[in-house]
Amino acid sequence: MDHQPFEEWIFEQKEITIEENKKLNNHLNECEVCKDLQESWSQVESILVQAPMAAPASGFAQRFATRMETEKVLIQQKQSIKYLLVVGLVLLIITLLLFALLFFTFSTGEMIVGAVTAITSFFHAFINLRAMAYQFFHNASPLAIVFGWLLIAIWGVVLMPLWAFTVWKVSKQGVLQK
Amino acid sequence: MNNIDPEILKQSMKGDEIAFNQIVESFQKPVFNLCFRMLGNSEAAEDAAQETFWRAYQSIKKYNPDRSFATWLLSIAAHYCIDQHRKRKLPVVEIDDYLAEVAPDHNTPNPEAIAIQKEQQTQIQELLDELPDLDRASIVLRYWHECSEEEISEVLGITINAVKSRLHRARKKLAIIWQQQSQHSSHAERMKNGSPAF
Repeated sequence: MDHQPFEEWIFEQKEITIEENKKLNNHLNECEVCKDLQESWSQVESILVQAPMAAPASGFAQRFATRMETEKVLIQQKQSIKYLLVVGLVLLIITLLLFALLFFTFSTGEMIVGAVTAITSFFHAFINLRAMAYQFFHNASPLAIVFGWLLIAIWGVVLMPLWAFTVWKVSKQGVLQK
Repeated sequence: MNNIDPEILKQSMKGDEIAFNQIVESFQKPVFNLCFRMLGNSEAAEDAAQETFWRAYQSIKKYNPDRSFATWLLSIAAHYCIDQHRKRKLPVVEIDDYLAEVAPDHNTPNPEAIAIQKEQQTQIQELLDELPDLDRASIVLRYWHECSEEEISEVLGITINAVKSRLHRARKKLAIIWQQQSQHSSHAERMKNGSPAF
């Protein structure tokens, strides 16, 4: 027996003509298979129609807002890491290029002599700087030293509350993510 | 399907988080319901719904206002759930947790009504779990979200003919499984009441 048109009429929700309805009813009286299918489907459909919408636990929007903040921080961290990697890579490439240039331009002997000269110049500059500082403090009047300390103390008094205020503000509100 | 205030949508598209949170408030139930019916698990549904809104927030600037917003949002949810379902076989139905969320809030609890509802919901979820992902999504969108065949085709990204054929196939399969379950339970009932001598 061909069930095809009858199955379509049972399962597809399109309107059927009076003639088709009559044919369907006649078929259902004769065909147990289609009759059982129709009965089962009408039971399932009535349950589906009555089934309520499932709702999330209360506070869903709040949980989403929290998640959004976390995700944004993660994205910012990932971007920072990406930028750092890019900058690091560029610096590495520049360093390698400079080294390559150095090796192709100078001989090994010249490079050793240059390195020793640079290190010696560095120590020499340090010794000179130390001598200058010694000379300065040796010649300065005791009043100037007291004035220097006073200047440092005043800066400390100004900066300490500012620092404390910043710590308090950040710990209370968190860092604003744009 | 739910409509949305165009002004809120406009503000959200400009990146206004408060406006987007209003969208979350308005659409949390339909999105969660779709995820729950697709995944059959309230924890997974919560994660999927959160992920849906996060993805929507990230790509809302690309949203075309000529399309229905609800369709666009449900499309994100449906595709995410289908992907999740393919990745891992989820544990089926935490019906007790679920009922705490869907049971009507009566002042005097009616244990019989709750028991019947519980049984029906278990049956529904078991039936839905038998369907392939796209067929299940079509049924959920049709019966819970009252989507037309055109809207289902937009949400799932398939043709209207494919939607019709999937709905037909899904309905037939649901009817057959229901029939088998009914036969099985009536047989079990007869065995329980029958005399062991026969």
